[in-house]
Formats: sequence, structure tokens, C-alpha cells
Amino acid sequence: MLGVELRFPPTPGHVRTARLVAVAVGRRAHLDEDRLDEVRLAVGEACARAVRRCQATQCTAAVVLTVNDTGPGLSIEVTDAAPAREDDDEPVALALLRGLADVVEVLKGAGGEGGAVRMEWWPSAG
Amino acid sequence: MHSGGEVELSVVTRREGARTVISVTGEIDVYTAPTLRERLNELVADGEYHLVVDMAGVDFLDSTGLGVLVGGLKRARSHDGTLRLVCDQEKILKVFRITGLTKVFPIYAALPDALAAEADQPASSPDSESLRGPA
Repeated sequence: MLGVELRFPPTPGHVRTARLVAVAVGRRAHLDEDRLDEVRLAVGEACARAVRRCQATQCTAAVVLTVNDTGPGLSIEVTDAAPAREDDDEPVALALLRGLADVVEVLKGAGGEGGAVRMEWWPSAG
Repeated sequence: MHSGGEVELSVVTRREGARTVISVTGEIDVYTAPTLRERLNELVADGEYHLVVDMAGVDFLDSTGLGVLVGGLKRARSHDGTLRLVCDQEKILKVFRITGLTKVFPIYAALPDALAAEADQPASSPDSESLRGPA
């Protein structure tokens, strides 16, 4: 996936770093302040989820944030290397994501290794 | 002991009559929320059951922060206490709205309102001026 990529250790302190990077790229894509607030919160939630998944499984591999502003809108992916678990369900975080981004996809890695959240913000009509 | 978040979050408490005001400034997120949680827990452990969290200076709130506020509300209520919020920023209110938590927390637009109100106002009441945005 094209765009700006940030790799960070799965620790809570870097979730803010990821939020700031995503908003900086979103600003370059000319999203308005309300949409940028949505991006900030959604990226924070997706990254916090990735960090939780890693901490719960003692996975220390980097979380990868990719922010792609080459399309008509903004496309963001957050990927982790944590193995899937039975109780992976996070209704509040996912409900929040769905209320913030135009498109949200929660993906599992091949063979149950790793996961990703993909989100898109489309340009407003007119 | 959790020591993170001093730069991103500040928590200052003071007594206002029968209530304790917790003034929060900065960002409440997965990293800084534990600091707020510890403070709320300390207050309840010290017998302070009527809490007002003033979020006027809060720039950011995520689901971890929401969880800490819910936890504080439950603890206060388990002692027949109250936890009220002060917030009039749309970007923060939106987080409560999307998660349905506007129905759970009494939210006031300004601190004097939160301090003066006798009984908790129902957060989603139509008379509440503290909530803005589409119905």
C-alpha cells in the first residue's frame, strides 16, 4: 500500500505518535477539521486495539500504520502481528470506529497470525 | 507505579462545597487514562463520593478514557455518590454520543451548573442545553 508508513513498538505511549502522523497526512489531503478529528480518534482506537492485542499475547513485533492520501480520499491501515485469540471481540472500540470512518474493515492475517483494521474517509460531496 | 502521561495529561483536584472537582487538561487516551483512573480511585477510597470531572480543557478522549470515566461512575454510585461531567466541546461530546454514553453520564455545559444542580440531570433530557448536535 502506498503512502506514509509508521512502524512503532506495541506500547501505549506511541499511539499518540500514530494519531499525529495520521492527522498530518490527512491535513495534506485537505480534510476539514471535523473529519480530521474523526481520523485522529479512529486511528487512536485502531492503534490502541493493536497494542492491546500485542500486549495480551506478548507479541513485541511492530505495529504498522499506513496512511494513503494518493486516492480521492484518505485510506488508513493499522496492522499488528498478534496471534488471534478466542476473546478478540471489542464491541465498544469497533462501534466507535464504525461511527467515525466511512468504511471500516477488520481483517485477520493468514493462518491466524496478525490482524489489521482498514479505514477509509471519502471526500464530502459538493 | 504508572508514571506516564505527565506532559500529555494533568489532573488537579479541589473541594467545592460537598463536591470534589477534578479538572482534567490535555489528552485522555490509552496511555494517560491510567493516571486519571488512579486519581478517581484514590478519591473514592478517601471517601469523596460526589465527583465532578471538568473536561473543559480536554483535547482528546478515546474509549480507554471512556472506560475510566465509566469505572469512576460505578465506584461513586456504589457508595450512593455521583459523578458528573462538564463538557461543551462538540468533538468530545461526539465520542459520548457515538457510544451511547450520553444516556449514562450527567453532562453539563459549565462547571457552575454541575455544582449547583441538586439531583443529577438525565444526560439525554430534551431540556439539557449541554448537548448539541443532530438528534
